Amino acid sequence: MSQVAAPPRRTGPDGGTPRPASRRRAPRRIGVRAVPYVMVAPFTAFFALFFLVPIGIAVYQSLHGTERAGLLGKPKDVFVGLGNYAEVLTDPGFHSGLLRVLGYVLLTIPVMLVLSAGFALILDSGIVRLRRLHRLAIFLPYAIPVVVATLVWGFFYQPEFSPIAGALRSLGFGTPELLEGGALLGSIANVAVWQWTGYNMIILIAALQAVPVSVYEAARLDGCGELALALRVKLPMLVPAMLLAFIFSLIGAFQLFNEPAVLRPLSSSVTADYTPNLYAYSKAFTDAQPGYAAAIAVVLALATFAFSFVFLRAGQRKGAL
Amino acid sequence: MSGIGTRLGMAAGLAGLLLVAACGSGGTAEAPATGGSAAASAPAEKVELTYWHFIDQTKMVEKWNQTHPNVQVTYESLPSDTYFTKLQAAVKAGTAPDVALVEYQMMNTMVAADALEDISAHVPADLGGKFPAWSWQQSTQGEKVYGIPQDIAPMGMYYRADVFDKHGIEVPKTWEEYAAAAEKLSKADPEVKMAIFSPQQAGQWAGLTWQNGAKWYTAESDAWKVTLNDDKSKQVAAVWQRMLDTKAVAGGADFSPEWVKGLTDGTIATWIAPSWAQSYIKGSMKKAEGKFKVAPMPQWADGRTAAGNWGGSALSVPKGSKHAAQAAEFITWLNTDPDAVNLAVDTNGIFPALVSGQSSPAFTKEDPFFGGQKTQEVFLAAQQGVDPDFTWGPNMTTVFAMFKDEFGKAVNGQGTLSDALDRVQARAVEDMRKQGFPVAE
Repeated sequence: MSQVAAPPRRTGPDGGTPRPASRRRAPRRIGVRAVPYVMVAPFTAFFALFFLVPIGIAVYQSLHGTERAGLLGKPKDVFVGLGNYAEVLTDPGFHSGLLRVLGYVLLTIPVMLVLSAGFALILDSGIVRLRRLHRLAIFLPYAIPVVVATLVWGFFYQPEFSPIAGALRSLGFGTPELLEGGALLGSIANVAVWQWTGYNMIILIAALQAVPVSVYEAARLDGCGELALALRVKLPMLVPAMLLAFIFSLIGAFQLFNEPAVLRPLSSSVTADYTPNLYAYSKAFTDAQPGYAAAIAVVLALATFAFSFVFLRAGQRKGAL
Repeated sequence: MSGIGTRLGMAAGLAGLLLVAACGSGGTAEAPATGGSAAASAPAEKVELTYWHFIDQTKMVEKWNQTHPNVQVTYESLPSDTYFTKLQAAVKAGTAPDVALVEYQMMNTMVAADALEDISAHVPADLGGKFPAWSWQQSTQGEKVYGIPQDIAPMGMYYRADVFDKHGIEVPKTWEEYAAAAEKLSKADPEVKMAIFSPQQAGQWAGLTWQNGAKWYTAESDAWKVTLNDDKSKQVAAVWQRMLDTKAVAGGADFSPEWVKGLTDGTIATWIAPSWAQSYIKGSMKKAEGKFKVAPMPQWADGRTAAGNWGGSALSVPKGSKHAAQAAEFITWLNTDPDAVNLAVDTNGIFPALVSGQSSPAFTKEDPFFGGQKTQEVFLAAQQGVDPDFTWGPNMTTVFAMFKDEFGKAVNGQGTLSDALDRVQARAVEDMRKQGFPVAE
């Protein structure tokens, strides 16, 4: 801003020549004022094109249903008001998907946060050798594409050729059904924990490195050992970063799609409404109900927003963020 | 293979260049094509068609391209699992091919999605008589022609003759005998399953119920009647439920590595499947050479010869093709020209829908893999027993997914297959209402 605004001020005093300043300044000012808008225009244009317009289309679609004339009539969009929303909110498929996602949140997030905080504290304490190697090893699963990761885990879960099942069989425990029924959600949660713990750990390590060394020195001078330092000084300082990791994980959990979609051909327990996102996808692409799918997506987005907001506020009140 | 592909690609590229050049030099080149008459393929005009299929069509396309310099076809291979989603999306986006495979079961769904051209103006009037009545009926709506049958898939019973012999089991002629044989087999060796009941395979389920005379959909004058849980379907469900309960049959995924292994080593004894399963078995279960045989499907009453059909497809012209006339000409050639059909039989082992194509010596020859059995004779007889009066609904992608979900629940212990049918019925009707289809009570 100030750099851009500078030239006219400079030309004024040292220009010398009798310029018709008053006439010139006016258009220039408009130009100057326009500069920031011009600068943000590319962003605004892309933001509108790829964010606002799709949301607008989704909302518009969610207010529409399909009508046909005759047995094989062409589909025709008709305005149905909030009809789709009323149905989504009472749809048992949507409810079960949402409940399943909440179960997934309970299975993944606590384990993931405890593990990543533990790893971060251990690696930060300096008691482990080859710190960078360990950090990289724990972070590595995050670098593997989720589809590949799920396929690999799917192989481990599948009863016939899986080394896990083979080991359990040879120990006389029988073959575990890791891809069916209730166990499936745990199997999916395991993939997520495996994949995201390292990522969250990096966030927490970064937060720890931002703490001034003087704080630790003061604690040590006061007679604090490494364990007490980790639990009494570092851990409280990690809380804001952990809240952030929690919110990210929560948003990710609500959007759960890839893992169940990849496992769907391998498992008869992954139904079309397994998660809300998968449900929206099936409605849009296999069921030819784009309006209903859009309504699911909008409700899901609002639910995610509401949950994130509640937890953020709760965190802020406690002074964590 | 890749050599052919590259050459084909280069040919297509050259054809494309020529096409662009033609369009560039004379803007009027496009105009006569819209007439849609025979004049559209006037020698001056060069047309390029794209063709989607999931089984390799390279040889047939090459043959056509050699003899039809003005209508050059480019074949694109697509995976089958997401095919119809992709095709529908492509039609909406205006990027659909000029010719596409459409399975019979999806025909009405695609028509209802307004995704297919009526090509009746571009095909000979007597075309329908060359195909089994049901396949033509499932590709048309009255006078409107939405597809030309390419292959059909009458079902039979593949069984491990060695396993049957070992346990002294006669080839079952009825479903009652099949269930009894299954139980006998599992008593003799609990590791051996008569078959795998796959919740994923709604197409197979359709064939099983079709054989018993079940009706899934009936097109009444102004509304659809949906009967996915009629008595005939329930009868089929009951016999499979009985075998699941006695653990003579296991629930699980077919086409999975375990399932292939089971059929290969004989721990799975039968597979109720159509003619196309032969090439799958030969390709994936090489070690079982000489051990499989084919018999007709078990019957619902002694002495009957009814069969179901699982799969098969027609070729259609998706909406938006600028060259519907040429596309229809290509499809007609591909599916009715004796040489083209024989080539497809030789290369892909298809069971041609063209009735006259089913009598070629190459088609009915002895097969060493199946111990020298003339396997296609079983399927030729089965084809005669396919009930011509079976109608697919307009929302099959959805209903197939519902079968997968609900049968999956049943196989995992949530209720019976019969309960699953009731749930599919209720959900299917609900879905049709949401999609705006008129449904009769």
